[in-house]
Amino acid sequence: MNDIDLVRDILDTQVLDREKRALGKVDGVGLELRDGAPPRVAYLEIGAVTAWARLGPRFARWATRLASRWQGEAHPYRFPWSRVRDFGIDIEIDADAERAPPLDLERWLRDKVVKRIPGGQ
Amino acid sequence: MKKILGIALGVVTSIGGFLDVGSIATSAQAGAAFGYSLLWAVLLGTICVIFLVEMSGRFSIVSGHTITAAVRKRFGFAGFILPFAAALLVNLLVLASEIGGVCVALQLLTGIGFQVWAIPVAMALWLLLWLATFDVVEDGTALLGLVTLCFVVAVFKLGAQPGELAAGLVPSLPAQERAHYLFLAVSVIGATIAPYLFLFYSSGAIEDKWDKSWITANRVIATSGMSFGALIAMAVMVVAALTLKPQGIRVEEYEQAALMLVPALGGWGFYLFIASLAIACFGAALELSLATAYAAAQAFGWNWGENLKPRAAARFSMTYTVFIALSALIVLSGLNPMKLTLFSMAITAVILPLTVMPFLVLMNDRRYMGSHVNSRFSNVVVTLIVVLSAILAIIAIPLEIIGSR
Repeated sequence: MNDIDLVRDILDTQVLDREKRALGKVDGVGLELRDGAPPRVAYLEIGAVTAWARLGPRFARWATRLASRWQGEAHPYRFPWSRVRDFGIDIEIDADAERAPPLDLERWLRDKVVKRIPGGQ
Repeated sequence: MKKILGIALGVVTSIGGFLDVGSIATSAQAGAAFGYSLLWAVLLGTICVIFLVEMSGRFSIVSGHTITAAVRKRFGFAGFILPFAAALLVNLLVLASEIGGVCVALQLLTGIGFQVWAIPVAMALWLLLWLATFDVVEDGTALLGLVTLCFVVAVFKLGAQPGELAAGLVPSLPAQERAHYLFLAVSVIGATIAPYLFLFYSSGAIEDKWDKSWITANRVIATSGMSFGALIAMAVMVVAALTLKPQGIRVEEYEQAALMLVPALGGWGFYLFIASLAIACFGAALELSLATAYAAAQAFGWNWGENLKPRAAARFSMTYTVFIALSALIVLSGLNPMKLTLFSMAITAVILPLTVMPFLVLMNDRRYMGSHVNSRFSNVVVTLIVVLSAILAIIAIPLEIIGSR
């Protein structure tokens, strides 16, 4: 791949872990500004707050306030481009969905809600 | 051979799955009030939905994306979220209408009021999704949906005049009740072009791993499935025109439509109507609950899939759980299910451009579609029908609200 357009090809793309389990979408891209050199991609970001903040400052404040009640330090989840293993329709990264922070809500719902409903096991 | 079987199943399930609460309610009311003269609205909606369903299959075959995921990627989170929210809201109203339809069928059968059935019906719906394998459930209800063919049988038994039917395919304004006529036309179109239908279809194409060898099969399934399905919707309108209109019965509630099959099919007609209403609405409710959970999962990047157990897709299964519960609450509130349905269908028509136009942009994007981009003809047809319907709906809804006071 020679030419990658960050907004067109990376932003809002599905992210999978190394076993092709869904991790989330690329909700944001972090750039690093360098003196005398072109900016470069510092990290990609998965996180609801990042996504909602893209709607404008009011949404950013609102989402941050809501999220601060539940989410810990691990949000938004950031990973460097070096973790990307494969890139096409989806972005596959070297991570384990079972432990990754973007699935905190998924795990919480599974353990606290779904498993307690008959048939959810 | 496998492909022929796949085509056959695709066609049969789209016939069985075509009719839902919207088509039954709008067609019955239109036939009772205006005879054959709104048949053109079904035809117009069907032409549009054939194009859209074919496109959604082709899109997923060629690009490997589902529509929801691709719209978010192409337009960004900010451009995506408003159409998405609008679609969710409409899905909620329509799901409440479908659950209401099943409840009314049970009311007709037992005499016990429809609100009592809201929770049991919602529970049954949820249990099937929670416990069963989705594709079995889905194909099963779509096959059972073939019971709605009884409306076509009734048309033949009643002996409709082909010449008069053909005249109904040409739009014409009636001398009286023009506002109500316009409102029904819009509702019929909204009922025919159900956005969840083609979103769902695109998910199916991804799940069944259709590759480019399916492009022709996709065209056959979309065209014949939707056309045959539309014939049933037209049959409902024709039967209502032949049996209800002459007696001056206005279908303002489902009870008034319940006997429409009796003149053609005798005592069985009553039970066939109930079965058609219950099965069609229940099948559509299943599909709609799934389609909504799919859309949420594809929008936010969760695990999704027909045959995942709730444990493996917690957010996905919680989405349809909450969605079904909210819809049950709307039914429980006691709104007239017929009015709720008609209103939901008209609102569907209003937001059609919001759901269809972004998709149409994708269909013309060579980065996604390569050489399989839309022809100019299909762009023009879909844009014209969708935009025209939305404009008519924006005019018709206030007029209907003023008129019914």
